[in-house]
Amino acid sequence: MNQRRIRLPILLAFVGVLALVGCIPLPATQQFMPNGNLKPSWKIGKGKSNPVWLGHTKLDEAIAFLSKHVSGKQWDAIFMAGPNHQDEPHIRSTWQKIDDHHFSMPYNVRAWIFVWPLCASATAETDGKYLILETDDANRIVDYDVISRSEFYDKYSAKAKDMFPRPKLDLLAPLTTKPTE
Amino acid sequence: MTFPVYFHVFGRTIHPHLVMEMLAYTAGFQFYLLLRRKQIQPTVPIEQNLWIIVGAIFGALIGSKLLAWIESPSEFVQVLGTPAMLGGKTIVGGLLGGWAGVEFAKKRVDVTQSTGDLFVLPLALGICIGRVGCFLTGLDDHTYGTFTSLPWGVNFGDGPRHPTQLYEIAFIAVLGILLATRYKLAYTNGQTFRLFMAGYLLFRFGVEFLKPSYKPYVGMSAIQIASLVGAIVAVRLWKRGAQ
Repeated sequence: MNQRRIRLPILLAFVGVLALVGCIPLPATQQFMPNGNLKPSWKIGKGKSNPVWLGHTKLDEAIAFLSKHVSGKQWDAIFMAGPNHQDEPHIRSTWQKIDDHHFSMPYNVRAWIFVWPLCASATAETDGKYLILETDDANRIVDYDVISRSEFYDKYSAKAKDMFPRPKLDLLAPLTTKPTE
Repeated sequence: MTFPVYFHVFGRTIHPHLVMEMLAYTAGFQFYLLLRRKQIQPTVPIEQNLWIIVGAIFGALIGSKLLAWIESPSEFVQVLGTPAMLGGKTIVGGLLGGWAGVEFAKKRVDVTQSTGDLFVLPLALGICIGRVGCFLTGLDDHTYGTFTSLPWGVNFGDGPRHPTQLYEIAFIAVLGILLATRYKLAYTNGQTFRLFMAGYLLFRFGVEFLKPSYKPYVGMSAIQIASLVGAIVAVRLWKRGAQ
């Protein structure tokens, strides 16, 4: 059997099956968020160089930094559609207080990249996570944890309370017009 | 049970249709290779056989997409140019396109012997596994049936419906077993494949009446018309082969 003569049909069969499935699923590292930034836990640590320095950074400083870090253009569909924009006030409004010393923020990480060869595009599928920050009596961040969205719902959703007012989405508001003079 | 029933692979959530579809192709192909190794009769040389498989795959690709687009043309126009247009495909279109692709490839590589019989059981296995993915996907897959008050109705999220995916799995399993025992796995003349195609296409023609699909063609869907035409061709070829 001539091995070289069967290479082309094997390659074509492989390409054909991928086209039949429609997409090529590639597992993502789960280290990046849809806005392209590293996940928030990379920014928290014991060293002074960490934006959220354990034992030193205050809760309000951490909230300000992490909300900004998670916000921005969210590229769920790479190379194809334009990104969605998650603005900072919206992210800030998702912070919740679990108890006097625990605070949470939801975010997404890229879990899978789906490459669509026939459309020359790629889309990302995300997994929901929750960052839990722990504070001491002086409101300094002393520890953190990352849990899945389902784990958060099971353990904390009943007692978690919003820390900031949610932005109002008044879709039915009439268009304001400049009064005629 | 909440639909879609996602799988969790290595800590990642993944859609059931993708998992089951890939599993269906892999299992079907491995089963085909197993049956081919056990075959006593002389088989088509490997190179020609690979070209026939290529013909089957690309024929199935074209057929499955074309029929899906004809089945719901308005939805196709809406998603034109986006990955969503590649999401829709039909098994009926895939089988008929694959069949045409095989015949085209056989002509190109000068193969005259029948090759379809060896594909019957792998196809049956692949369809059964693939339909599990359709079932687990639920409403998003658009393969569910109409509402029913029968006790085996499945609630995909909007009330009990005919689980037409499960009906298909049961039918294919019975058809596969019947054909395997009736013909004693004597894969020689293409008759088993023609019977399989006739049986499956007639089943699809019937079961489509239980689906809330778009039926603009004399009260029938594009899939039903394709199934009917395909079944007639398969029966005629089978009759000719039996003479």
